Amino acid sequence: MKKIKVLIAKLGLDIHWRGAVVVSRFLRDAGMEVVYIGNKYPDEIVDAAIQEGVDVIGLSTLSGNHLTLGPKVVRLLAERGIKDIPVLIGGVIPPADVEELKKHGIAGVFVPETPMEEIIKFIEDIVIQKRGLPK
Amino acid sequence: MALLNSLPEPVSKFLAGDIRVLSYFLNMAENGDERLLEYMPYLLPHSGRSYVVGITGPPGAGKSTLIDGLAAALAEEGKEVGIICIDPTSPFTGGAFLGDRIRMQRAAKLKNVFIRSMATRNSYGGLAPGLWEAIELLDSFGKEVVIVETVGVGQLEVDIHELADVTVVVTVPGLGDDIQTLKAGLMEAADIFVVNMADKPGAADKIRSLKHFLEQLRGSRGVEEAFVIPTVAIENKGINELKQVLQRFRERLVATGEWQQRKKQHFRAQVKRRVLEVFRDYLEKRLEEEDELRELLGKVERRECSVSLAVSKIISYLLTTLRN
Amino acid sequence: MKIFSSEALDQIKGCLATWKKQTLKQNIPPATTESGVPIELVYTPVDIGEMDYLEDVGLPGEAPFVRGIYPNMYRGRLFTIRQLAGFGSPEDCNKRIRYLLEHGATGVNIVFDLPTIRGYDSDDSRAEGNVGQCGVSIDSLRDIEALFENVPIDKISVSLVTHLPSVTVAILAMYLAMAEKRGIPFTDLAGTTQNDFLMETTIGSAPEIIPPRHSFRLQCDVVEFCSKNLPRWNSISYNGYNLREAGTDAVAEVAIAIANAKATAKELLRRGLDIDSFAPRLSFFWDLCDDFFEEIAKCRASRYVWQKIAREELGARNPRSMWMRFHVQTSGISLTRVEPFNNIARAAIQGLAAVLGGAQSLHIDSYDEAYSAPTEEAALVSLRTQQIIQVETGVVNTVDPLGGSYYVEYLTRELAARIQEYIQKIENEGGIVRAVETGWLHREIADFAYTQQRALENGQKRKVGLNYYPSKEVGKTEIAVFTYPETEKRQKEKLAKLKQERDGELVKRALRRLEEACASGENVMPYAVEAAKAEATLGEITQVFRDHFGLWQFPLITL
Repeated sequence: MKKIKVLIAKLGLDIHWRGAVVVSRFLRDAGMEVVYIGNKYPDEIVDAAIQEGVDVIGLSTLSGNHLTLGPKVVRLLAERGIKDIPVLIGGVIPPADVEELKKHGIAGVFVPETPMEEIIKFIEDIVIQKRGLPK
Repeated sequence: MALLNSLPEPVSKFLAGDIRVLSYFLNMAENGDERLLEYMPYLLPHSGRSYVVGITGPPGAGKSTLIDGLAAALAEEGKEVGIICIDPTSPFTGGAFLGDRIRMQRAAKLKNVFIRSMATRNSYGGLAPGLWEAIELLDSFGKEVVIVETVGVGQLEVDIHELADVTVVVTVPGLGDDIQTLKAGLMEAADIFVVNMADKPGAADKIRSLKHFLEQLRGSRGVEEAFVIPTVAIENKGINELKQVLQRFRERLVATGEWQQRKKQHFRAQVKRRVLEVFRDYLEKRLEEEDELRELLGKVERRECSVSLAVSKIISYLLTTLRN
Repeated sequence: MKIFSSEALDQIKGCLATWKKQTLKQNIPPATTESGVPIELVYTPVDIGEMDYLEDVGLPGEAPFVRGIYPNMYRGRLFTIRQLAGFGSPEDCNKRIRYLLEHGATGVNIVFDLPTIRGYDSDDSRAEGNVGQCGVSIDSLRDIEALFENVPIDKISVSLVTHLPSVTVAILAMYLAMAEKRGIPFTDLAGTTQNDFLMETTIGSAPEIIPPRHSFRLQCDVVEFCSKNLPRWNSISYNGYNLREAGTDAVAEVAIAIANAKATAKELLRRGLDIDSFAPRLSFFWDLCDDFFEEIAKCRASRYVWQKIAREELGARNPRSMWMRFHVQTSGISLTRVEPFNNIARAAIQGLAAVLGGAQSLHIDSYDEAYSAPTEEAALVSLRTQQIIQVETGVVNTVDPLGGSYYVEYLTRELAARIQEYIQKIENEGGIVRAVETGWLHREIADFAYTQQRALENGQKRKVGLNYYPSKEVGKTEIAVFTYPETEKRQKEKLAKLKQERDGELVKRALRRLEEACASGENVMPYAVEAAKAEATLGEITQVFRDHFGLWQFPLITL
């Protein structure tokens, strides 16, 4: 299968980079191409995702801005006519918000302690599905 | 040239400036998607105008920061800029960290700058697969300057010479990459040297010795000026000088007719390289799969057959099978 | 003078050898502490045979302070129960502060929301989605006044967790402006500002960061100003906690923080201050993680290392300059999201370790830490845990109860040696500021975080409920989560009103003078206080720093 390219961003002002950096390294170990862009806002994230032609966008946040800024990324993608880049969010997300995020079109939510393997498999599966390949 | 309304839809969108289609085509180029071959004929007539600037040098020299400043300076004067940054794919995991974009904070915010990160994907000749097509795509999209940043280790820097109209080598004082230790090919392939972090000790010496080297080289080639530019990229110093030198260099290429020469050389080099790649893959496969060839190799290993004899036998064998 | 006679040690050595052969009769697989110190099966006087009690351990309140910085420790003064408070608008947070004080807290520890932490006003576009989340939103002097309404700031100890020096300058300035308005002399103010340049440039990433050397300068400006004007104020709290949570082990945590303290001291000495005029107010902030005895030994070792540096390298003569005073917070990253009530046990054990380690004040994480800022109920459990340790367990009745334990003494000395080695490593990188500029420190942290994750993924590091008897239940526990959606709107309204009512010219002048101080190298604090009094906003003050010092590119840490 062709390489999977992932964009990883810290959402907004979110300061804790440990999770995003560790996940980036694990994705790289799993053979993916990772574009880590640091702290960015939804419009910059979408610009980068389009220019880079990524398969998936991964957002990292622990500061509570997931409900405000996460869905904004989904919305901006839709406005720019992009339908095939799923948006994932990882970080400290209260259980009640997980459903809310999914309703807004977030394709996957990863709370602390999700095993890296699970994240990797999720991304692989969602890309396979997107590319219309047999599983 | 085909009329606009008889073009395939993606092509007309592309020519109208739709970034999404550009991105989509770039993906196809990277992945060797044959569907791109359908579209390229429509795009080729729009290409050939870009100034392809190759930027290479050892890791830690500050190439990305330099490119950020340069792209911003070009964009601010209204130029359309494309940037391709190449990072190495890990030979063990097959994955890659594409970490140049994050260093281009200013350029990434500008509307007329397009940045794409690519991985080498362990391709032969060290640059990224589909890089040639990617440059052609940015060119035909209307990017007046296409900056290509390469990995900067080992032999690979030399290959950028085959794609770029101008090759810029970025180095820093105290890195130990003196004239003697810099790879010979790299030194000769460089059109312009940048000594970044020029505020560090040893900068003046480095600039002097590079100028001297270039003058000798240019003398033997019959070209006068030796471009060695000091910069402190992190403080945006020297960027304007670099921009102006690149502009002068371009003018000189055009005036002397070398612009066309170089473009011709690029095409040749690219075609040869790609054909050789196909042959190489073919050879690899045959050596693995053909019993006759494997046996021959075995004989060589057992010293029952000389290497030269084996080679001519293999070539005859391959030519015969190819004919059939 | 060694405490064990050579004869006793030889005899014990002999018995140990026999014991191994005849009683133990098996090979025990090696074990290490979390930071990698090898652990023997059993410790005896032989392991601390070289120890000189008075030289190496001493009596509490005397060098080398291993047993404690005060002679009477908790019998003289209990550790401060300093629970964090901070969320929503200043008015919301004010209620929680008064609640905690009414229920026995003796100090407050204010955390700010992200926009405030990074120096942006609530109406800044960058603040979107983060106003009032995870901390209280402060935009101006008015907000500081609302936060401390009816709070007797001259009677309690107030810790303002202003991570970044640039923001510390602004917020401390507002706090001082408030004190002035209330007629409280600066000499009466007791508290702490975090003020750690590593928070600004290393531990947290952000869209805009000022260069490390300028953040360090602001850090030193605050320390200098406080040493001259606020005798009861801890101008800095060297933050080992966030370093640890980002990705270091116990050794690096302490070493990096102490390296920063050393660099601060050297800078202030260069500015002509006397070491004893500011060192007594340098404080530290440690994490308390899983390895019970290692963390206790770390606390003891940190005291040893600091007093050695203060005495031998910085020329301190006043014992107070040699005291390592530290606040402890139990580790957030050690808590789990699954089976959250397990976290009560974890935090209690960690809190106990902090007390056994001689902490001056303590925050025990609440069990819902993995979700959001603590609910009132969870905050109460943490508070009660501290009170249980204080009045029910009896551990506070004697100083340093674990002193003399062969294991703990051995580990203390071992960690002290390793900490000093790591400090030297940082010196070899050109000192702490250089180590940050080059990205060396960031890479150390990222590499360690990555290694730790691998250990967790492959089961080497065990977490109950996670990879040890993994919990099958998800979402069984009802956790109430606080959100403060109205905060952004309210803060924006307040800002609009403030900008209308204040004297715009006065603000401009004050900010210009602040900029001049940045350029001239003068201490910025007095100018910041003037700007705060003129009602310059937090964002306006920190923008002066961003404009003047420029922005810095965060190093690449992902490789």
